[in-house]
Amino acid sequence: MAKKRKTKTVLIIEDEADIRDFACRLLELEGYRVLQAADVDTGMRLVRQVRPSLVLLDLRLPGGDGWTVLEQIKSEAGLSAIPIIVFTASARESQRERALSMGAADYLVKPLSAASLKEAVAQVLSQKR
Amino acid sequence: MSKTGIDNILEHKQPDEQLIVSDEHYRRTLDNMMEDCQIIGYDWHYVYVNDAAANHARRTKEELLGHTIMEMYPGIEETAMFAKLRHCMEKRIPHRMENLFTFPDGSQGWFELSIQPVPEGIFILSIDITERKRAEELLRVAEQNFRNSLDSSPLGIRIVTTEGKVLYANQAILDIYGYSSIEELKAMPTKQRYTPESYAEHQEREKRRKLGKPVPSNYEISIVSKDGKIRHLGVFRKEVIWDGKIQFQVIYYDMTEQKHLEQIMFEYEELDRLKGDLLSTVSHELRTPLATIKGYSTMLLDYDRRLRRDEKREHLSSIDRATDRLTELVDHLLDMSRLEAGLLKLEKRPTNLSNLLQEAVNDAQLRAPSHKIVLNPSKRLPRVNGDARRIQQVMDNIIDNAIKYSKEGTEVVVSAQRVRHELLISVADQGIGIPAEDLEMVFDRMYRIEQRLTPQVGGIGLGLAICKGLVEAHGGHIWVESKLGKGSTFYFTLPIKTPAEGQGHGKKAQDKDGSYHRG
Repeated sequence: MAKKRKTKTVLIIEDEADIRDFACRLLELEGYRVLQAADVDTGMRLVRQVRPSLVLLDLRLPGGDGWTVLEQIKSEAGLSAIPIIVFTASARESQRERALSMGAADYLVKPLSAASLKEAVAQVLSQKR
Repeated sequence: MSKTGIDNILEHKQPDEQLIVSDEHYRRTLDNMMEDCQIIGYDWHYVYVNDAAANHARRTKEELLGHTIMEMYPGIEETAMFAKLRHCMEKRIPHRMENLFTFPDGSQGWFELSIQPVPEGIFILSIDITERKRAEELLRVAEQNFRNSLDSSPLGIRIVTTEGKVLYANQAILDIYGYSSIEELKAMPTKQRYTPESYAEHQEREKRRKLGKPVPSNYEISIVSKDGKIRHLGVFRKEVIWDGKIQFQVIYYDMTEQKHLEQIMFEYEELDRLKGDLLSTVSHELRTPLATIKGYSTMLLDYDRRLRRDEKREHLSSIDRATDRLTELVDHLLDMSRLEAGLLKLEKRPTNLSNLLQEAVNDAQLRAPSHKIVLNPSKRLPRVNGDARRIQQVMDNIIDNAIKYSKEGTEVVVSAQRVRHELLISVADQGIGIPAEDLEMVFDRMYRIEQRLTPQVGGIGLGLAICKGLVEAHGGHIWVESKLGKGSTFYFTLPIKTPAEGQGHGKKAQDKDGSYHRG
């Protein structure tokens, strides 16, 4: 997987394999260490175990709702500082506002383009520092 | 004044002293009466005329007396009144009649005539009833106006008693029901005039009325007219005084057209909504593979030197798959629009389905190596008259559907058999099944069970709608039976053209490890 100098870990929680694979490959090429989860439970377990530098979160997930993941991470001591970029197929402004008010660092509308994903990840991680 | 008939009567017929006094008294009474009194002699001369009669005739008494009635009223012999007079004169029979009298000056008046035979000839008492006649006429006209407005009202109007007996029904009622007479309408049992649901509501209303419970005065009913068509009527029911009694006036207005328009409006809105749904689904379905193509192309360009050869091949096959998905989507959209516009042309010819089914099963097995796709052995299959490419498309779609909604490792069984003049083909899976309430919608455009149960399965939801269109274009039927959690079986039929030999069957079940990645 990741053999790059940067050791920032990004966790992708997304049920659609195509999108997950693509984001994963792209971010690996960008030099991040990438972990994947396809459902809420795996996602939360990895967040607690690994404490990634960044979480990419699909708001529509099987076995629960991406919103609960967002809420849990933001309310759990020791995890709340982890920045989260959410994405969803909905371009609705109310959703975007809700996500940002709940502590999301950025909001991307699917389908994700390589450029916007790369840029958003880089920006959020640089802000964190 | 010459001697009148009465004088003669007094002098010659009744010489009694007391009677003379009495007759003199009566004569004065006659003279002063408001009503016209006249005595006409046998030779039709006026014998006696009182003041009122003279006034009405616009003559003096002297002008009248000594003249015949024909002289005063030329042409009178032709009238119905004169016939009565003559009848009384000759047969000595009293008459009573109403007559519109035209006076010499042209003015007219209604008179009630009482004609009595008297010794001198006939005695006529005329009472002026012109005013009464006018009042009666006004009343009659008013009544007629009222009836006309009821009769020719575009609204159906009935007057019914509390027991439901019809006292009046206008033409519009008959028109609405399609009956030619009120008798025909009355002869029809109430039950047969309503649709069953509407009749049940009618009975409920009647029950409530009998119990004295409140019943809305405005409601809707559905009736069956004489030609068997169903019409929707709005009804107003209100108390009304009819012939001095409290009855009910029931007004009906035909809402059939309105309902029909409402239905069309509803369907339009539904269509509009579907169009919106279709657009957003299509754009989503288009954007996902496009994003894959764009994403991997960018990756291949930007990181060319850092990507290994096998990685590049993987990305290229992602692009390849996404392109296939786009192609399929566009094909589906085109098929659907052709089917809806009736522009889809079938190239029908006698087709042996045995081979076709075998190929469909083999191909599906390659696409889904982790499922067991089985073709049930069948006896000789008759040829169907069909478009092999389109039947193949239906088979692929139904089998892929079965695969999509069932777990890896489970069986999908394809069978075919002859049922009368049709070939029945079925595809049974052991998948998640379809909720009973959704069974009818499965073949609708845009229906996707996965929206609730399996959000990870993509697709635009046109596949089965296209299958239905294609099967029906062949003259067949398509349906599904399903048990939630147990699986679904899709059936479709194709008409058999000519009985012909169909070689066999085949069974191929390949198991292969899945290279399918799934969360």
